[in-house]
Amino acid sequence: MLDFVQLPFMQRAALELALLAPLAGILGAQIVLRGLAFYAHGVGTAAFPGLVVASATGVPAPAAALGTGLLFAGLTDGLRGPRLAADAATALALVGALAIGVVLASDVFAVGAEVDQMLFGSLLAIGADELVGTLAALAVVACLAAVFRRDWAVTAFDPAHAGSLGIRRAGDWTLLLAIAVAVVAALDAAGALLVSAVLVLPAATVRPFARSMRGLELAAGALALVQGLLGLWLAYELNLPPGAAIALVGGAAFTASLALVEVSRLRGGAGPEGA
Amino acid sequence: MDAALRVRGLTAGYVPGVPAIEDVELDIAGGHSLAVLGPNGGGKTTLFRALLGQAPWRRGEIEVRGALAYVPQTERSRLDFPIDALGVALMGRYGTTPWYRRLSRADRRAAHAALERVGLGDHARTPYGELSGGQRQRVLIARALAQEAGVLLLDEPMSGVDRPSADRVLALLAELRDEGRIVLISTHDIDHARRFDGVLCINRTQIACGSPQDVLNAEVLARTYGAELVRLGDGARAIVVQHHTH
Repeated sequence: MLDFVQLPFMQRAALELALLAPLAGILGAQIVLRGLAFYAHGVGTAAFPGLVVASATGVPAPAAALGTGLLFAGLTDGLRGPRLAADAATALALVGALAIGVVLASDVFAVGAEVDQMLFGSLLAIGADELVGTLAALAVVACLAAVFRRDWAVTAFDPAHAGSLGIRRAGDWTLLLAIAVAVVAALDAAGALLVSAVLVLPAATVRPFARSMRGLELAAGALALVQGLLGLWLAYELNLPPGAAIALVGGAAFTASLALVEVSRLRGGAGPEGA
Repeated sequence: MDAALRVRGLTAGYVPGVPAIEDVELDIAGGHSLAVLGPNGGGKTTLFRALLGQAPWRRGEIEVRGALAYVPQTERSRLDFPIDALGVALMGRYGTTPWYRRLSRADRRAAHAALERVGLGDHARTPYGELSGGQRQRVLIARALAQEAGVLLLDEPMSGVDRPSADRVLALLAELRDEGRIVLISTHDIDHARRFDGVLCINRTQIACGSPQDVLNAEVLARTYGAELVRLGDGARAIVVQHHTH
């Protein structure tokens, strides 16, 4: 039953998931606390046209994906304003990116066969280059987190008054950049449309039970690894696409977490007391 | 502690040329407290932001001796954030801890001492969201104490807090003042303002500043609150009808 662990492509897939787990821990915690899940999903989708262009022109895929992802981040920031809420701006840019990607793939560059992999990942086709790329992304995010993690935490807790605690305003941009880097790193495993399953779902699942920031990060990272490996195994045994299998396992874990919270609430579990 | 705050001709706002407050003058020595009284939108928050150096534009002079710390309204902080009371107090040490250094034992001791000081030493490990409104307010005060602040700016510290808790917060603020700090609160409650050493009435501009006995009279309150003020009986007592806009 465990013969699959000896297969080199399965080993590389598992290693990729192990490298993505710390990203899901550090950044997943920030994403769920700051309400940035839609942003993360948007950057992933925006990377799609970048991947199409890269595949047709030979530009390195991570560079193109990061380019269009950051373009998306800048665009949503520019679009939102008094007349357009941030989530509406994200939705607009996201739909636009997906449409441009489809048109480019089908009519301009004719890379139709690879579209599936771009949108839903190709975990079983991970090679050494992809592993090195994910390792580099992990290094970048670890550096940003080392420098800015307190700024990120204070801004999440108390956005309006972080400045009075001596917190740097650069913190916000560095967090959005770190998320974009992590999303691009997760594209090989989960594809443009399923990156949230890897980066966001684990943290959202464990969040109701976390009592500290460190606890949330560790639990989210551990769950990301467990659900990733479980999804990978299911994909192998049942011949499913691995990205979708991981998303399904993540969704099941999240549903179980919701049910657990609801049961403890009905049993009269502790909620915030009155004043 | 030897704090001092001196403000001359302070004009500040969010859009250049459109002042939200004008010509505020203050002179407070350490060991004194001041209530900033005014209607919503009257400039209390702008004044605090200007003192903290966070107003988008300002004119005039501000001289401060001692570190400034700001205590936000507990109603505005997040209750679902995974952090305990000690973690919140420790945030007061972030500004003086460079990124490459871990928080030291001394930082932890200072945060613990600050929690003890506000009477929550045995709640250090309690999740912030499970504390009562009054306890949360005291944790945020502890965070300001962990910043070793000589000047405390508190934004409506009694709002969202029941009466016994409000009295406890007021008693704590009096103690912190007696230790030589300057304590500034913003409030729209005239009864709370009476319990401070001085009262500054503002509504876009400075209406009056002085002891509660000198300042809290019918004429000043009418100019501060305008149509929002409702006189009761003899005219010496009044209540304010609040139109919440936020």
